[in-house]
Amino acid sequence: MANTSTIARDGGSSPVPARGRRGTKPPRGSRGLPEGVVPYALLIPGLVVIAGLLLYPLYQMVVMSFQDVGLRQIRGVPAKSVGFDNYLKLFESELFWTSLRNTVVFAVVTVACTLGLGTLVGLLLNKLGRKMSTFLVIGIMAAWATPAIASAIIWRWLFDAESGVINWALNALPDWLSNLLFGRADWTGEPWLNDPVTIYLVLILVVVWAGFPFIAVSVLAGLRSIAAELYEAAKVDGASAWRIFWKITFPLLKPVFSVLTVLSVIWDFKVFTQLFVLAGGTSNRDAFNLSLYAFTQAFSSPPKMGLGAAIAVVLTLILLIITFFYVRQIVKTEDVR
Amino acid sequence: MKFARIATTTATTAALALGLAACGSSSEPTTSNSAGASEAPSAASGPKFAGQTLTVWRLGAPDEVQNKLMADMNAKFKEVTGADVNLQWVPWPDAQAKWTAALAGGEGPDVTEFGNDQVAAWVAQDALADITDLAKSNPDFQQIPQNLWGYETVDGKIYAAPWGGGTRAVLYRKDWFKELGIEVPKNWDDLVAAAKKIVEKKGKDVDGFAFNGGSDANMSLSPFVWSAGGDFAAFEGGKWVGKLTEPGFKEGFQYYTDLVVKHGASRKSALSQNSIDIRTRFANNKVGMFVTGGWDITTIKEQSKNKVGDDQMAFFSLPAKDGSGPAPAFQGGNDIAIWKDTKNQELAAEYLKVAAGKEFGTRYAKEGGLLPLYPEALAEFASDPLQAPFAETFKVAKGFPNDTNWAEANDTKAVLQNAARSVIEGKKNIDTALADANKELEEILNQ
Amino acid sequence: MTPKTRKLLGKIGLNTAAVLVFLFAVFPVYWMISTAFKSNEEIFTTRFIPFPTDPTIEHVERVFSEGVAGHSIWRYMLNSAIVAIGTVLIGAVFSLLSATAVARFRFRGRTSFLILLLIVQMVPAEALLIPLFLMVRRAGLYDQLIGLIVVNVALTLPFGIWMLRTFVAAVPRSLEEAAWIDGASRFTTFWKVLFPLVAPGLVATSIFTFITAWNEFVFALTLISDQGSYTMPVALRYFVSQRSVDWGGIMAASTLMTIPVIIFFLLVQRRMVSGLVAGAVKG
Repeated sequence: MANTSTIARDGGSSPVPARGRRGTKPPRGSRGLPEGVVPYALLIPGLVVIAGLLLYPLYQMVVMSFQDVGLRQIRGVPAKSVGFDNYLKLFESELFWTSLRNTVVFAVVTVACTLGLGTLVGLLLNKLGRKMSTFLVIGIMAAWATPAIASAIIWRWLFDAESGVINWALNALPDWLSNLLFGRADWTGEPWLNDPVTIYLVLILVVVWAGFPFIAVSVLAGLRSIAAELYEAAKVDGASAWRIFWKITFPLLKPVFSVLTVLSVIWDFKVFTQLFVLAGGTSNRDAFNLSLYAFTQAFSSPPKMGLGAAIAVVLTLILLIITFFYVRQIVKTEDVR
Repeated sequence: MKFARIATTTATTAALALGLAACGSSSEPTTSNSAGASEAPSAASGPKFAGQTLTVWRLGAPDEVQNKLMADMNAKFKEVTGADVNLQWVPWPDAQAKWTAALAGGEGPDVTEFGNDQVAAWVAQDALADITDLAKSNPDFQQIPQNLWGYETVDGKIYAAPWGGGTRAVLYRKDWFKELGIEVPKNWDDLVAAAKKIVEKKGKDVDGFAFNGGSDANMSLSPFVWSAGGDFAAFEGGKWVGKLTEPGFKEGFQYYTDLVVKHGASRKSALSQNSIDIRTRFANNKVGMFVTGGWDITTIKEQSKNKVGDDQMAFFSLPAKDGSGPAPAFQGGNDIAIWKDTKNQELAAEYLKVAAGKEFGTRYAKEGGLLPLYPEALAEFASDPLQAPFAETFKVAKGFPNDTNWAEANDTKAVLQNAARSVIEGKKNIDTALADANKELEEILNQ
Repeated sequence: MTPKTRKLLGKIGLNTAAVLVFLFAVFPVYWMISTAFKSNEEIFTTRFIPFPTDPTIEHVERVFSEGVAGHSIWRYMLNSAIVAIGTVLIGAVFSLLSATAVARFRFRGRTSFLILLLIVQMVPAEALLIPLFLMVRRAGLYDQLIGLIVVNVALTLPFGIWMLRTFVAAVPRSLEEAAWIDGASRFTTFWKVLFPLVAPGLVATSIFTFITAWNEFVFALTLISDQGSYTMPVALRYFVSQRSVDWGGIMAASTLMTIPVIIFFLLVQRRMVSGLVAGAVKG
């Protein structure tokens, strides 16, 4: 595998020392620990953090999803178990299904757009001259670096109904073109952030804008590691650019793409900050996704943390199912051994 | 318990209105002898709290006047108790979430401001300290008319001190009305005509009469509904019954949404703007009229750098549909309360004495555009022609369903805001939207 | 068309595409900065004013002089810096230890640990908000920056270990073995041989941790109540809800928050890319 990493991954030079074959043993000074204990000692801090602050809360979340947890419970009254009540309530509520739909549709579209645009820009960066490539990298860094909260605020301003530059630009299009594309010419005061559909349109833009640079830079790094000879050979054979991409680039970068896809899926499924800002807090319920829905249930008055936890469990399960295949693939092929 | 509270609220409204009318004639502006009352305990507790800090939450966004007021108030508090104040401003739309987090997190204010209609809900959550003894023993508080303690009293115990009374009227651009030859509207038809004219002459991005669909939308919607004879819900046969589908409510609601849908009096693009958003636009010459209280005046002057000042704006009371008088407005008001989790009840009580005492209580109300609660100040207020629209509206003021769950329907779930949005965007017709909202409202109130 | 012109046309096409992408990426940031320096008349307009014709620093001044929520904006910068640096320091030590363990040793449970790392990265952090909120509260860390640091360490650690282990593994074992032969202790070997070689990787990992912690919003929103302890993103959100449509002020505040991050990004860009290549991209 053409590798983007600095580590050799094939079995022969595995970074993992095979005990028996090792020639030299580390010293066992007076202060040294017995060999077998060392890795565990090193792992303890990390393990404590992960177990205590990620796994235990995860367990807690599942427990709470079967309980009625309101303010009194948070303040010390033992929580009562309610069986599957929270889940039943969820599945009955229309809001849950719209939130789920919003979450899934948004994630699918956004992941596709981010990966598509990111890959194209990555390929572009690879083809550009040195100066132009640096110029573009600096440009996309600006988008990447903008904090999520600030980017949502900026785009909200760009899409402002009255003084937003987007409405100005749409109005500036020649009328015939605007009519042809959108069936309308007048965009004055067009509200983008009322209706869930347009809120999500803007949200997709915000997230793609902030997300594609990462993909582009990663793809570029991958491309740089592919041996130039492969392309030379393909060119000599007269292959088209399209063919080269699918026959050489894509297969070689497949592991890169699979990681990027999974990361994007995780990020886009739980997007919160940007939606929170664009939808203007928690009052526009039609625009909820699962994260915002869970947050609203748990932290608005009166708090219903049990219900919130149930939503979070659903979200987590969906993500685990989606990413299960990926984890299995890594476990099978990578150096997890 | 519910019965009792509804009764008190109604009584409060009526009594206050009467009181106001009565006071109007016997105006006798005096603000003296308050000093003596609040200085008495100071000698005893002066050095006692030196070095301590009290966290106080105020609601809203500070302006120059408020900053000055709070600085004076806190200086006085320091003089009396020796303690410092950590003052935090919580935006109104964030308040519910902040209190919730404070209760859940166990770290909150020692003293907090409250909307008086919110007190019951938070007493039910066990968030507020019982201040009955303080209220009954403090000489200043004794001067606040007994009938003004309705919202603050739950099951015979007092949980907050009334701080200022609030009612709403329509703030309008006096200069535009003059320029365009518009008369102050006397009925609903006038109102629409005026709003349309403003949009026509001032541009499409201007709201003639701004539609409020945000966190405090019901303050703006309710006068229309009440004026048409409707109401939100009624407590009947031991439970809440939603009244959103009744003809009166529907008429008011329809008029309110039609401002956007039919008349274009307010932009369709800003369905979730609240009074804070509208205020900022008003300061930037983008709004002709909107429903708000007197407290917005100072902020608007500040935000517009006095380009929108006393010559450019004034209030009128929202007319009834047929022009028979002012429409009933929401009778609100602000309170100040001690947070139950406070580690320093005694010091917090001292703060209440200073803040809601005669001197600063009156200043708080007057400088914040609210109705002062001390009788002399109230009388003085009612005789001021500038404040007349409020006094007038106040006589017919009404309240929201007095239930601990109202805040959830009003704010968290934004039931009517969402109904209005779906009607305006054409997703539901008005009957379906109101029927759905009614069902949800009943569910929330009867939890 | 001769091959030469085709090549030239191709080049022009590529460069045009590059400029378009550049504009798409940079315009929003540019617009934020330009709005921050426009007068209100130029902001509240339906016309397009490409740059402030009469630049004003009134908004920036206002943000500085009035501050946010009664505190200077520097206070929030400082809080954010404390949280981010605290997270980086603790995170760096913990992830280096764990990464060394998994990259240098083979032991029972190693595979399970690596799989665990992968799986916990799949769990949406927002989902853990509710239980973490309760735990932080019970630990008495609610409303304290240290509570945020602890949570941020937990959120960034799995990725940090995962990324760093490849850097550790990339250091040739023979170097350490040579040191052992010379009689160096395990600690000396680690400190004198392994650490310097892993340092660039540690920096790359730390950059990611730093940025994640600096920008983190949801937990900072829920775990902090006192306005004096707000981090920058929460303060910015507060500013927006307090100012509603005062776009000049909002853009000025956003600019103040965003520019340091962008500069930081540009400075560390190279390391970050190398970090990605080694860690993230690989998995």
